[in-house]
Amino acid sequence: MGMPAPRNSAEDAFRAGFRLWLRRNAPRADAVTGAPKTGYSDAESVERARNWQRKLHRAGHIAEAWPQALGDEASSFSRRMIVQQELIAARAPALIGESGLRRVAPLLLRLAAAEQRARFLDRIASGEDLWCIAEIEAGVSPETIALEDGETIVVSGRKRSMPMATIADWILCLARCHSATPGSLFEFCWLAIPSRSPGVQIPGRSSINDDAASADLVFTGVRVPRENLIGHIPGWDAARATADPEGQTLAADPTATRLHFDDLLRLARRKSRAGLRVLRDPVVRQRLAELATRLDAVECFAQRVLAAALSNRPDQDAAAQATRELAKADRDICRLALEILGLPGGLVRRPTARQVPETAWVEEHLAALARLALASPRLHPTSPAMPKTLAARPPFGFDGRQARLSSAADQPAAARRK
Amino acid sequence: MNQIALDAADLAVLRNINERLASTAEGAAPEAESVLLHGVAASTHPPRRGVAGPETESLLLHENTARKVPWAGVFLPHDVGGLGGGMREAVLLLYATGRSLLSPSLLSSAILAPRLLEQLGTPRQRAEWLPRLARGESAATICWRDEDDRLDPSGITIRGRRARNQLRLSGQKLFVPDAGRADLLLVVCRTSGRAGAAVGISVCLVPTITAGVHCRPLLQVDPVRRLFEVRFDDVALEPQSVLGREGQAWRVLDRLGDAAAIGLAAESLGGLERVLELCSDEREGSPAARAALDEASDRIAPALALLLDAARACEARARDAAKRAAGIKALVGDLFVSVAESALAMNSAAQPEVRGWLARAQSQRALYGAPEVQRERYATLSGW
Repeated sequence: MGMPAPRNSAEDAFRAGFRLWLRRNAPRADAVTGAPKTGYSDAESVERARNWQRKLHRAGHIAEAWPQALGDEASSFSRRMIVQQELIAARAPALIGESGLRRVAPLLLRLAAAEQRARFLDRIASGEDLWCIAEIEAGVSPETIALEDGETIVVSGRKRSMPMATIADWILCLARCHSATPGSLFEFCWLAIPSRSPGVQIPGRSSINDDAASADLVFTGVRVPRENLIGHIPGWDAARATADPEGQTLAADPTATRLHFDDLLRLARRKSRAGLRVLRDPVVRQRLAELATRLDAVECFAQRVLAAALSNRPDQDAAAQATRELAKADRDICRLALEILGLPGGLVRRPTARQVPETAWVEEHLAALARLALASPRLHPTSPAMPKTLAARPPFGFDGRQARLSSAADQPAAARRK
Repeated sequence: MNQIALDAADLAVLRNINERLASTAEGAAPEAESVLLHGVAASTHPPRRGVAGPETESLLLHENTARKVPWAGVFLPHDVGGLGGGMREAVLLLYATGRSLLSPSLLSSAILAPRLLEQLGTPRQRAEWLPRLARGESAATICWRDEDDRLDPSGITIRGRRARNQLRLSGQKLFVPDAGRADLLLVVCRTSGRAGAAVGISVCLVPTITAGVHCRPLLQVDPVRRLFEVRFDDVALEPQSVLGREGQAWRVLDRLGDAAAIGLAAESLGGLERVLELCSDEREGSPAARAALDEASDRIAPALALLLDAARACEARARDAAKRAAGIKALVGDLFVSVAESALAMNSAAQPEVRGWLARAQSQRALYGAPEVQRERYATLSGW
């Protein structure tokens, strides 16, 4: 099955042009494995990735990767899809500033004041500022508290396994807001917090995939200027304001998973066990065929999701479902690859010049698990399931948890006394 | 989610089918309910000639359906009195009827057999049988599988031998659907060539009233959709009983096998959805089973999308049609069984019905190529 593609001559020409540009300009994602590298393990890899985004920005291709609402006239969903598909097909590095492009920018456009937009947007596009979206917590809904204190807002709480947390310049933090004025409660707000602010701690990399720069974030009485409050809307709308419907639909694109499967097939063709090509092993053939049929099904479904979006009939629930199924397929592809690899696959985490390149599958497996965790409907705050959960709870401050929240509210004052 | 998997035209066809099915089902439930609850095949009709065992309510239901709506006619061309429906309509019909535990399968008698007659028959054979099938006056079914469940020509071992000016048929066919109610059997046999070769496979037209034809219902897990063993004791046939050109049937049969796999997957998918609906509000029972059901429900819309894609590929005789058919049959066959097993573990109030669905799932998993067979076929067709 080919990649879902918009069919008209202008789009075809755009695809061909961008493909040519990539052939001339794109660095290989990973010189050792040839596979797209998912993480940013050191300063050097981060800088390389920033340079790649700058290059795309200078060539005018970031505009195509923006959500439609932000792009220029030429930008459209179909072009954004083409850019994504061609980047993946060329095995070019992912955009390091993707979370900024995909989620922070739409939020700024919807909620931010003109000066906030001017301050942040261009730096997001060029990759000068990297953003981390801090939203997921141990419970279903955010318990991170933002307290008004004069001209500053004091933030306390803990966020779980936030991608980009270790390398981001800015944190976009979702918090429950509590005003000092009685009766002026509003539920959620988004705050732009500089990642190096006093009180922001990273207690160690906690994600399953530590190469992807994910980590927990702890906020202990972090003081944020009021000008960094990216507006607020009472209730759940504030959280959903970051949803990028186009981006969520594009996450259902199966191109990357199909590439993964092709890599797995190549591995099975190349490897031998007990004098027999792994691909001839009846058990492996069954597992490969089972994976392939699942992938065929998700591809068919994803094509319909993308086709509907191209016809201005986007379906976010269907896109989320396709994304989950693709993440599961990715996980199982990597799992089978590790089984085929045997001992080196299970023991070696990073390939070196002397090791077989396929050891990168370990990293891919961990990255796939991280993607699956993020695609889980329970964890994702913009998931349609979430508002129901929240709606079932009494309004903030009236549900018997007042005492605990009050003591949390006292914390910044205590911290100040220290 | 199905609104994405099905386009507007698919939904319109499905709505039409459901309306017709709703009007057909009136009055059929009480008899069928007894089959469900007791799992007993009660004899309600005198057996036809050649039918050795008791018939089931599924026969009654099927005749009821056939009398009111001759589904076979929907899939036959206009020139023989049909409505010219294609694979898409067939798949949507089977998907809709598959949701009912009590409805008979229309796959063999309404879709495969008329299609085989239409594609392989001589003008005379078509003129003789197709208008009758389109009007619902006759019913035909295919006797395809021998004991071996191989999907290639080596699975066909029963032979038709020339003797004077006749073709003599001996042997037995297994797992024949609808043999108890059919007037006409389309028997796949080898009339020439070496074992395993594609050339030499023919299809013979054998009226069920022919001397030497014996049908016996098999004791099976699914009490509603009965399968038969059909024995041929030196059955004498006229030379013109061979459908189309003698020894040249395999190419059409191979494609029909894809249609059968897709059709059965459609029925299974409908059943699978129904089982999930039965357990949708059930919060008691095993958490592991609940998790498995939730996981399975995410896979329905993708499977439906692949099913329709396979149907289109099959209709267009696309190069990857066989691969698509093998894929969807394997995918849905396993998923249906695992969903029915998990549903049973939920220990819900609908457990008697769920038990019936598990039987249906096991039966459909095995027919027209079990998932293991289809996956190996997929791998081979993919050039692995």
